Amino acid sequence: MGLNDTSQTDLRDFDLVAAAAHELKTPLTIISGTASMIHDGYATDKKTRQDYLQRILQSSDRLLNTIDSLIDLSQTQHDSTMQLQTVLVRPAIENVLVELEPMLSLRGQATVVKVSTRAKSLYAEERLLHRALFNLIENASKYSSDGSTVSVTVRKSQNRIRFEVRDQGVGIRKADISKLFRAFGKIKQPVAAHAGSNGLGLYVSQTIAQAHGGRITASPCRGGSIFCLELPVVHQLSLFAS
Amino acid sequence: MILIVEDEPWLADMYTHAFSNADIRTFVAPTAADALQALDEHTQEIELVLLDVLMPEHNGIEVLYEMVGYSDWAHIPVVLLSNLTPSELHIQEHIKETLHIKRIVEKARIKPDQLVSLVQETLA
Repeated sequence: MGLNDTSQTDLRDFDLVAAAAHELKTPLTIISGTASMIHDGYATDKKTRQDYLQRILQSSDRLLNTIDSLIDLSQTQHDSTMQLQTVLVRPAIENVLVELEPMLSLRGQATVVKVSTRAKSLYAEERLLHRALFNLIENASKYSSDGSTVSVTVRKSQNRIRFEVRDQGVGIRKADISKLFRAFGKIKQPVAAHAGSNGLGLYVSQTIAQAHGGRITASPCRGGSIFCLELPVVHQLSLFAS
Repeated sequence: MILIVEDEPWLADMYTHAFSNADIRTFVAPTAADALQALDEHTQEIELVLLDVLMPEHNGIEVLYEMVGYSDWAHIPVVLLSNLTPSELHIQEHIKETLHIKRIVEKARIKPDQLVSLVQETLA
């Protein structure tokens, strides 16, 4: 018995809107199901009730994140709405870490940030860069065990800034790398059981990188994975504009 | 025993709690590979499989094709659980019969206690 590596019944090959609608239903199912269990008296003690309410709140956040991802995707795919400006690299990373701090702290995960003095700034749409970095660092956390370390190293190479996000997580097979950047191409469930994943994060980040004339690559490394966001210091469009 | 094949931990937990409340034993398999292993190890105990369709790596339909390929598993009734609508799944009647799909349930539209009742009716 066994499952073939190549599926003859690939159900993920449906359009993005249908896939997004499906993805929105998952947290909604948790919210409505858990609420009905509280209503029907399944949560008999205070601890269970609090646990159920926490699930409803976190599923609401997940719903909101998916909607935000779809909005970012829509904005990125219409380049004319991008507002490029000089973004300072270290504060951009620190803002992401502040937002992720509750999750990192809950899981006892540490972060190490190293920014080369030659990689202080780049030209980007700040909100979209934040989203791309957020998705990469959040993924690094979600797919790693409690107590692990997420490292972010930023270097300048020729006219490009490279953000390397390294985790100590479950790793990735080379054969799966191309699937990672597909919309809803989730390969594995996160290690953190409560984290959930909408399967959009890397797709959105890659779309953002490409809209800036850059790209994201992924590779396995000893004891985890490295995701590298590579962006031009000066966006191609800005060269034409000047 | 009901085999729950569901990759979303909180959904699996929710269904487990509801079945437990009705004194029905469950076993959770979070992936297609885990489902096949559970079928292999608990063949005699599994009365019904609640099977999610969209899962990472391998989907529920692949599990079904594996199940019908083995005589020990082929008779086990299956309830498909998905947030795909029946029109998106478009599984024809003869395929449902071939794969022993007793019901197709849209997850977002069924409450945990309703799912328990549906399984009890299916097994009755």
